[in-house]
Amino acid sequence: MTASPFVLSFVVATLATLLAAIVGVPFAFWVARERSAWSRVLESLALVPLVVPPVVTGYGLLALFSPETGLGRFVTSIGVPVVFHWTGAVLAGAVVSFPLLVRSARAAFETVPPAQREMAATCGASPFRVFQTIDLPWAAAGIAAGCALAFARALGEFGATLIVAGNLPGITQTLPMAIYDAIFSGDYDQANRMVWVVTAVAVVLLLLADRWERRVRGLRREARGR
Amino acid sequence: MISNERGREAGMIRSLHPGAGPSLAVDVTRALRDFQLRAEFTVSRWPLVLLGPSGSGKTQLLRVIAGLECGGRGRVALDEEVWQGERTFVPPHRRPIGYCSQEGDLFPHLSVLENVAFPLRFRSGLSAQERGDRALEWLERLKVGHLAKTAPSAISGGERGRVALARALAGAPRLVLADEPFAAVDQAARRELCRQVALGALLGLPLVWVTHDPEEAEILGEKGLRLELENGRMRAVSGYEP
Repeated sequence: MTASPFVLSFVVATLATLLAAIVGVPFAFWVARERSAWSRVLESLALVPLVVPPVVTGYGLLALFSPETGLGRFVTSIGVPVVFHWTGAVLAGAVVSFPLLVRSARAAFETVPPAQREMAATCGASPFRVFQTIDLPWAAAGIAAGCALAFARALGEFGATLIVAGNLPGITQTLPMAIYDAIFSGDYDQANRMVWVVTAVAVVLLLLADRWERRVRGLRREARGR
Repeated sequence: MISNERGREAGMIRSLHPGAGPSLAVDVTRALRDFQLRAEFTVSRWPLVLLGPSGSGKTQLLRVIAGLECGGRGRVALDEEVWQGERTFVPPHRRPIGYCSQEGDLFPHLSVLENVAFPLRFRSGLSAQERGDRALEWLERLKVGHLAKTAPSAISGGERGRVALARALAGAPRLVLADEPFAAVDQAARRELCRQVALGALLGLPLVWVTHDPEEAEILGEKGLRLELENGRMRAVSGYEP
C-alpha cells in the first residue's frame, strides 16, 4: 500500500489507539481493583514508554521483532512483519500511547464508588455484569479522554516508529517523518502545512480529553447527591 | 410498644416466632472497630425491625446478611438455603435479596425507571419493554411514578428513598433489607413516609428494616418483631407473643 503521510498517519494512529485500548482498558481495570505488589510492578513497567526516549522503545521493539527472533519469524509468517512495515508503526504508536490511556482509564475506574458496585451486586449482577453495567459506563468518559490522548500521542510518534518501521515514503512515512524530511530538504511550505495540521489536531484532541475528564468528575458529584 | 421489652440476651431468642413467611437464621460474630458484633436469632415473623443508635452495628449486620461483608465467622440461612456457613459463602449477586442503603446509591448514569428495572435484567427473563412496565408499576406503588424519566440527581431525598426501595423490591426478592431508606429526610417527614410505605408496598413482605428512631420502629414493627442493638449486642426483643 502506498499512502500519503496524512492518510497513513491517521490510519496508523487510529489502529494504534484501538490496540492500546483493547489491551489497556482491561489492564487499567485490573490495576484499579487489584492492590497487590504484582499489579504495581506491572503498571510501572507499562508506564516505562512514557519516560524512556522513544528511540529506546523503538530499539526494544526492533530487538523483539527482528527477523532473527522466533517472534519475528512468527509475525512474518502470519503476514504482519512489523519491522519496516506499516504494522510496525501501529505497534510503536500503541506502545508509546499505552501509558497515557492506562493512566486515564485507571483514574476513571477508581472514581467508581464501592457502594455503586455493591448495590449492583445485590441487584443480581455478577462481577462481569457489574463491570459491564457500572464500571464501564462510569469510566466511559475517562476512557474516551485516554483514547483522545493516546491518539494524539500516536499521531505525533517519531522516534520509536523511525527505528521499527523506518521512513519509507508511501509505505511507512507518517506525518512527523514527512515533516522531518521536508525541513531538511528545505521545503518549508510543505513542512508548515503539515505542522499546522498536526498542531490543530492535537489541540482539538486535548480539548476533547479535558471535556471528557470533567464529565467523569461530574458523575461522582451526582452520585453523592443531595 | 417498648413496654413489653424483655431485656433478653439475643442468644436466647431461638425459633420463638413461628410464622408463615420464610425463616431467616443469623448467627454472626464479627469484630468491628470499637466492639464486637454478636447476633444470633431466627425469625419468621415479618417485618423484622432492627433498632439501635448510630454506630451500634445495625448496618454491619445488614451487610453480613446481604453478603457484602465476607470476613468473620458465622451462619446466615434463609429457610433451607445456607448463604454463609463453615465452608459456604454465597456471593451477594446469588442471594435473592433486595437491598436499600442509607444513601440510596441510585445509579447516576441511569434514569429513575432504569434504576428500578436494573435488578430485573438479572433476575427475570423479561424483555426490556416488560422490565420497564414492571418497574413503572413499582414506582407507582411507591407514589413516584411521575419521576420515571427523571435523572436521580434531580430528585429530592424522600423521593430518592422511595426509588431506592422500589429498586430493592422490583427484583421479586425473597428477603428485603432496608437500611434507613429515608435517612436523608427530616424526622416528621420520615415517619410519615414510613407510615405510607409500611401500609402500602411493604405490608407482609419478609423485610428487615433498620432504624435508629424508636417511633419509626414502632410504626414498622407494629405487626412484626423488633430487635434492639447496642454496641453490637442485641439487647431486647419486643413485639411478639410468647
